[in-house]
Amino acid sequence: MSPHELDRLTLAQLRDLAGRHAVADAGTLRKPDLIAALAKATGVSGGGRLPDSAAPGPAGSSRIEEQQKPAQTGPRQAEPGLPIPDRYGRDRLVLMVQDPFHVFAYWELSAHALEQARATCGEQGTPVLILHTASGTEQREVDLRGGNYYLSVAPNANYEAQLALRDSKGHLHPLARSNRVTTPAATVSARRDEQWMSVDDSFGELLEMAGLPNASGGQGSAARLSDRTRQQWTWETNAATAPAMFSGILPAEASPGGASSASLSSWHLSSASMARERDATAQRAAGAPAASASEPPKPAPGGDAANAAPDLGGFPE
Amino acid sequence: MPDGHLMLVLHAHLPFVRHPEEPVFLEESWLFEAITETYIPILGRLEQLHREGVRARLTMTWSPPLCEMLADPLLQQRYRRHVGRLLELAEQEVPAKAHSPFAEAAVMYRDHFRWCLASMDRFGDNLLGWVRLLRDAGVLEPITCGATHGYLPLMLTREAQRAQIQVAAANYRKHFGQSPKGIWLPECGFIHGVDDLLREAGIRYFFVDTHGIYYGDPRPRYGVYAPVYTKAGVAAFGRDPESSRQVWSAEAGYPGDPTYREFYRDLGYDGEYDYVRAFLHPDGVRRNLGLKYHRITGKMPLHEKQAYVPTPAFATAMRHGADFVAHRVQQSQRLGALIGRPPVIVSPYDAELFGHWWYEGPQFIESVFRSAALSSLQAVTGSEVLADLPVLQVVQPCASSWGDAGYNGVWLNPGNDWIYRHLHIAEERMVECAKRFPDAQGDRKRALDQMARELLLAQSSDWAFIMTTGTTVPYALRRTRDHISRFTGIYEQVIGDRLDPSILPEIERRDSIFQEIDYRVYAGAQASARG
Repeated sequence: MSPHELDRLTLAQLRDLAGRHAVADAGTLRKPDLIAALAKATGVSGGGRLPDSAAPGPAGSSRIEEQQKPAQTGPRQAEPGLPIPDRYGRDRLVLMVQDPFHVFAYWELSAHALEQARATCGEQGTPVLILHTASGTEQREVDLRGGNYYLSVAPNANYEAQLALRDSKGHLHPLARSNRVTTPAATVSARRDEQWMSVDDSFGELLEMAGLPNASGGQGSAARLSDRTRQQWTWETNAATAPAMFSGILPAEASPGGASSASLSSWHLSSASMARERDATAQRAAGAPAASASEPPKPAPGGDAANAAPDLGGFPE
Repeated sequence: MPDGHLMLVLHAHLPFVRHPEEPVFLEESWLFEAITETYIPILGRLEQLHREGVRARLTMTWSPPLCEMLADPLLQQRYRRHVGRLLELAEQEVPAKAHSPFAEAAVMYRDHFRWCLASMDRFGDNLLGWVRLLRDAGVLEPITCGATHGYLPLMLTREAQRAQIQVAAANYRKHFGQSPKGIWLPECGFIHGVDDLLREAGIRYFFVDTHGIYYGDPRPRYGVYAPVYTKAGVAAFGRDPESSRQVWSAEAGYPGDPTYREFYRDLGYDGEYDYVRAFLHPDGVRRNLGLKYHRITGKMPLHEKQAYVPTPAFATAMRHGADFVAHRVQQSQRLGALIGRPPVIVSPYDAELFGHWWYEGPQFIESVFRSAALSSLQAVTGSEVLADLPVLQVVQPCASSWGDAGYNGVWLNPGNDWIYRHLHIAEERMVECAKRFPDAQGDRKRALDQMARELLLAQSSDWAFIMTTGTTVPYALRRTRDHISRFTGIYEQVIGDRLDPSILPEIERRDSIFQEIDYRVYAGAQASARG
């Protein structure tokens, strides 16, 4: 929280907050001192997001462990604002990515859906949340009334979930199925092959100068036409010098492990239309060298991770 | 050839805080303070540099809600009233503080408030005219943001992500008369597929946090020191971690210098109550007025702080700017030797930190450009970099943000996770309506357009952020619930074919953002292109 925001609280709210952050003499401090003490206690040194949040850091002490808490699905008494629905009457399960190691699941189930599942189940059944991973499935018993759940997962992987009733024989009777999510990477890629691209949007600018609609939000066929023609690609593949270069620039903590040698791209121009665009660009480049006469990337002058890391270091913080 | 390229980026954004229903509304002061302390000083210093022929190149987000507020006659009039009152106070302060250690600061405030009013006069009350002027001069490259700073990675539908981008691009065209070349993704929140939507909107570049590039696939040869192209052909710039640390480090950071202005000593608290009462909010509660007369001095209780004197403080800012550039030159030489070409150093910051929180920040920015012009660094904008570097490596950035821990946790945690079940349903309902009514007219179109406004306003990442940080939470709760509630009310009438148009004027009056909006932006790529 920023001092700027603290400033907008009443003295009573500040004292309450100070109590929670164990600020000494919270009851006697004047408001500015209280704000300063709170800013210090909460580790804020600036007026906004940057000081705390600009750099990715390790998970703090507030890291959410796998947990279930009562859902706040709708209005609570004395909350500010207009009333909002408690439920929407749709049976659903939604997965959301929190970070590379956690996903959040929330759900809404109608009494009718539950009754139906119980009918096919033939008994009350145990509600379970099933996480589908690349290596199989995991089950967790959940309180359906809770409405949500945080799950521990692995980075860079796909997940889907299901809510079901488990009967006494271990059979599952589905209630709802989620969307699919992909967790972000939490480390450097093992892939070292390189492709290079140039994008030439001079045609788009010509269109704009002519007062014709550009690729965006435009009108009908002109927009689609410009969308097809305004960006053209050229590709170069240069894998030979990549590893040395990258190990030079990469901080020590994230130094390359993984894959051994640079492999040529699995990337290629598959569609004929893209190949045509490439030819067109090449032809134009012959006439207008400035547009795409690109300097190929120079090889590394002997990048050395051990030497470079202290200077560049600190990432991730 | 320069040793390196310095790309200074400021992200200016405030949520849409416009409350016509009250004569004075506390949260509107977020805007007024930012105009007085950040936007006018930065624009003024850029203009000064340009007039002197000093090379300045600033890439700066003007978020759509901010543009809408700056161009809004009601808020313009309220801003004039706000500064006019401060000027009255400052004019009393000059004689009151004469022959005291506070005299120079008192004169500075009076002159500054006069300049703010003169700037409003000069640009017909719309400061975006100043932005356009500096853009035309080539010193300022305004870029856009999500329509309402909605956090794209936590949206459920592609249509909702597209709408944030398309509505932003259309709003940029409304205020700037051309398409945006760059975008600051709200909170730097990137997720795969967003780049396709940017390309669809004709946007050339965006920004990600450092690890968004370093953890990209395949490995980025130049790290964050050259932009990369995503597979969609849109360029991604990565944040340089070193230049952020230099400014914000708790030990060595610039804003903690003893000569700089102390944020927590303010006339609103220090002045005799009867003297300042007339200038406070009508509720009479003591709050910051923006007239601050003490300097940081050192680590001591607030009552021991010494008088603030502007001249040495601004001299310090000039020194800090030169120091920043000297470090960037060293960094560039080091990096240049490593990567075999001049690095592009991207230094992005929240704009409101300069001036509002760090009072001398705009002077620091001026000094950075003055020092860079005399150094082997070249200040550049995003477009200039792309023009200079026609061929870039193809790297797919990793899903990431610049929030704490680098991913989605600031906007999705037990303090705010309840909002998404409402926001997601609203997304789906909006898409449902856009598809079901592909060509609505009259009141139904008005209703659908207003639903789009309510959804967009509910999606502002500011509300989830405030719920996480735990300050001004009641306002964030209220805004989330109000917009969801209004959206739901209109939706039920539209979908039940029982629209009562008499409910619309009051909602339209309150949530007046994006008068140009067309709800069909939610119908998907093909359908919205017809719009």
